[in-house]
Amino acid sequence: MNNTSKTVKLVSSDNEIFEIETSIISLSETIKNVLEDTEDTESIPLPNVEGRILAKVIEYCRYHSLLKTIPQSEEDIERWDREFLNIDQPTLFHLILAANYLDIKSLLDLTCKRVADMIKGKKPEEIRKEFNIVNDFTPEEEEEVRRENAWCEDP
Amino acid sequence: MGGSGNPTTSVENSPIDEMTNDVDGVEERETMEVENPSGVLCSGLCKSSIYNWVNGLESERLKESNICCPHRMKLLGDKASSERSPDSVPYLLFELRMLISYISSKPVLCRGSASFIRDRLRTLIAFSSAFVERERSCAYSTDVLLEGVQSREVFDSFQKDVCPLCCGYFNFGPFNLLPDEILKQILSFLDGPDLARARRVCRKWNNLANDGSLWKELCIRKWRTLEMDVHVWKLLQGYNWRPGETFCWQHLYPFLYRQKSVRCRLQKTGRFICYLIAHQYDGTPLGATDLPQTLIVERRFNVSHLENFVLEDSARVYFEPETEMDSDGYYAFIDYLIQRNRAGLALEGDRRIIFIPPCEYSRNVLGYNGNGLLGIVQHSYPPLS
Repeated sequence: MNNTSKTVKLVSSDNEIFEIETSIISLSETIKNVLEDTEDTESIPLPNVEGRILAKVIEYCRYHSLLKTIPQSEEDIERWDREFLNIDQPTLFHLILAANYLDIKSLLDLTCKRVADMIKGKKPEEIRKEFNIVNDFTPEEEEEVRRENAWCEDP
Repeated sequence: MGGSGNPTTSVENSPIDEMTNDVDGVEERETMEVENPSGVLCSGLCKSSIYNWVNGLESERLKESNICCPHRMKLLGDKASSERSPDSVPYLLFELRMLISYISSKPVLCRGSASFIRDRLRTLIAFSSAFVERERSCAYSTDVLLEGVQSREVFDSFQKDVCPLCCGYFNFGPFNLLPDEILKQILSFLDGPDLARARRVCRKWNNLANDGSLWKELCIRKWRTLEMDVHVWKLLQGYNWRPGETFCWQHLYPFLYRQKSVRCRLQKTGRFICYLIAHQYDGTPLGATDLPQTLIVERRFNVSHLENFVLEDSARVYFEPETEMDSDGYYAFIDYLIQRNRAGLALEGDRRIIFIPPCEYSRNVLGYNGNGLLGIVQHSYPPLS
């Protein structure tokens, strides 16, 4: 029953193997459930998560489960999280997918908020450009939705 | 969304159309007439597939046609295949001409911003370069095209078997990775103006950001008890909701956005009652300092005098208890006024702040039937007659 030293192997989509303490990776509800359902699980394949993303997820889980034993100030945690998300756009979006798949709520919130921050204060066209989204409104629809939302443009 | 007016006529009248005919000699006009005229660029009339094109599933057919969309295949029917490639100059010219004749047939487009054209040009460029990339990659690997898209399932689920150039589905951006619930979760972190702007990004965002639960959350954040006191909705100027109608949070929000709210501490002489949020809903706009941070109810007067006291242009406010913890004091204060048939009065320099509990005056003159506390802020009041 020595839970702290018990480990499990996670296998990424590109067959990278990560051995990690179950106490740390239990931040993921998905993995926690697998571990509870099947005793003595040695390895869990994660076909939806790439190795480089899984490494980030583990980094996050490690720090945030460390906080349970070594408390840090709010500012320190915020700074760590900010540094942690200092990543390129594709990595950020894959991290969101991984957090969703692995069901790590705090990581999903953190990453979604980061994307929301990238949207804030931008005009529709700037958002499209930033995220490579195509405007698929017909001009008539575009005019209508612009008119409906014109209230936010005047100070 | 059907095209109004007669596009054939307008295209005929435009000098651009002549050019189109000279160079192309394709059946553009006929097609525009037969198909949905406003949709030459963007309707769902082209049902074949970027999907097949990218995946190379029908590579034989594609090699023959070089472009994916039957609508365009028809327009380009008598061209040599080298001129039908999205990498060829004639093909891009053809697309540009389509764009120009579309714009000249839509006077409304010439008045608005050029964002439609910019987006369109970006799409064209993306389409053309993606084609070149595909040609270059012997493996027909989607990874080359779809920067950041790793899994074919994800990609497949987003391709609705629709021609990107006609329908704007050429969206390979990172958001195509995410399921709708996650995009919605991201949108839930935006405030009102940002959420409104998000609706203008594209159709999918418009649908997701128009969700009532997101707007309800934003409304409640601005006005906590709004959900519990439906009578107050009637007070909100310009938002004429009546009980029984379908209530729409996204229509209410703009009014809350413009409306001014101030946090105050309510006291009877020497005794704290509760914290209030004063929401102005009507009357002369309150200045930054018109409501003091502490309101001391020093006097009371009979509610029958309200008609004489209240000036027509005074600021009308609705007081709500700031948090759940303030509710007890808030309702105790209202009860206190009701039982004595009194309105409360706070004096602050030449300002008069009047507290009006539910009474004849609030119901008949102010038009409010709920059990909250209303207020009047005015700068002086006429002498008692």
